[in-house]
Order: sequence, then structure tokens, then C-alpha cells
Amino acid sequence: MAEYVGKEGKYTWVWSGGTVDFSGDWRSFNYAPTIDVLDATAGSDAAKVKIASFKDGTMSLTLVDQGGTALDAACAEGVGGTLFWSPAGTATNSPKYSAPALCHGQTINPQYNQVVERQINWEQNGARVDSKW
Amino acid sequence: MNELNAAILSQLSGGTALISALGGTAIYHLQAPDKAVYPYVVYSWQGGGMTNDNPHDDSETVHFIRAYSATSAKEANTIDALVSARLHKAALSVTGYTTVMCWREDDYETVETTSSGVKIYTAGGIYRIRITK
Repeated sequence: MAEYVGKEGKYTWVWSGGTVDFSGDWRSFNYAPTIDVLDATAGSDAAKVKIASFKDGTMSLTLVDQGGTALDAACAEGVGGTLFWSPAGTATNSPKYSAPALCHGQTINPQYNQVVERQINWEQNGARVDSKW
Repeated sequence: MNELNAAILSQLSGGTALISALGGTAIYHLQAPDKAVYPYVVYSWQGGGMTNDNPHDDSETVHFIRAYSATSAKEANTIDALVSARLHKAALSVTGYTTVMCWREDDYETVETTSSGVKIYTAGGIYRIRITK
């Protein structure tokens, strides 16, 4: 394997109304997996004992706003679907991840003298699938 | 980039008040011709280029556009104001691109004395132009 930059990354959101391909507009993507940790400390334990519990995660993607309304329905808060992310692109054997997700909607913070971006946020809603192209 | 230089020239040439103040289309790229009659305007590429922060081939560049007068600093500043009126927040028409912004950022003025003792007054500004495909 070798170093790579993100420009070949592919990010798609499959929801009931179709598939949104962010590849042409995206700027950054973030996936943060988490896991619930249960405290199992008991009795004469001198140090905390922990048990890994449920896996979870959040995703966010920023993109250059194109000024249209195409994303309003697809990425409204509460919309469910499956998010696919392939940070290394789609060449054979490149990693391909997906997870069912609930959309938390879009944040937008236009600034007077900057290109306007949108950030779309998701919360994982099932197991992540790690595969490859 | 020829498209951007052509767009600047076209935008300035379309200003009737500016052309009238110059006594013709005395607008030159990089340098005025030898023995060009004052006043005139010169525009040149100052820096910048591709942003490479999204897949849209965005380009953000800065251009130095200034007026030269052999009469007075006031005349140079008057012409500079007419240039600014044509460019600041203008919807620049760049072939093959969409203009995101074209804004004046910095002001500049100076005076030079030629070998024959004539004072040449300069007034201009730096313009930041962002275009996208």
C-alpha cells in the first residue's frame, strides 16, 4: 500500500428517494466510531474493570454548497439510509465502508467573504460493514 | 490564465466612464507599450492559483490593477475608483468558469520620477478573484 490524498474519495448516501453522490462537491469527511463501555468493577477489584458493549459511530461530510435544493430532502434531519465511504477511491481492493445511518440534517454557516459550505451529519444506526472494491 | 485576463480586460473595457477618463481603451496587460499616452491602466497577475480543496477546479488568484497618470495623484485615484467600480463585487464573465467572487482587497499608491523629471502617479488595488468549474 502507499500514501494517498483524498481527492479520489467516493461518498454516497442511499436513501428512499435515490442515491446522492457527494464525490463532485465534498471537501472533508469524518467518521468517528465509538463503543459503549460498561463498568464491571466489583468486589475487591483494585482497578476498574471494563467491558466493551455496543458499537456506534457518527459521520459528517462537508461540501461546497452549490446553491440548489437537491440535498434538502435527501439529507433532512430524521432521514434514514445507508452511507458509503471509500476514502481511497474505487480502484480494485480499495477499502469500502458502509453503515446504516440516521441523518441529523445539515448545518450551514455562510460567511460574507468565504465560499459557502454545508455539513451533513449522520448517526450510525446498525453495524458498519467493512469491505473492498 | 488567458481566460481570466481576457475577462478582466473585457470587464474594464465595458466601463464607459473608465474608457472616457482614459481617453480610449488604454488598458494593458503587464506593461504599457513604449510611449503609451497617460493616463492608462495596467493589470497583472499577482499570485494564487488552484485551491485543490474540492473537485471543482476552483482557482483563487489575486491581481494587481493600477492606474498611471502623468498629471496628478488625483487623476490616478479617480481612474482607480472607476476601475474599482467595474471590478469590486462584479459578476466577472470568465469563459468556462463560474465566478464565485471578484473583490478588491488592498489599495496602493506611489509616485515615481522619470529621468526627464516627470512625476508619474500610480493608484490601484489588489483584487481577489475566485472562479470554479
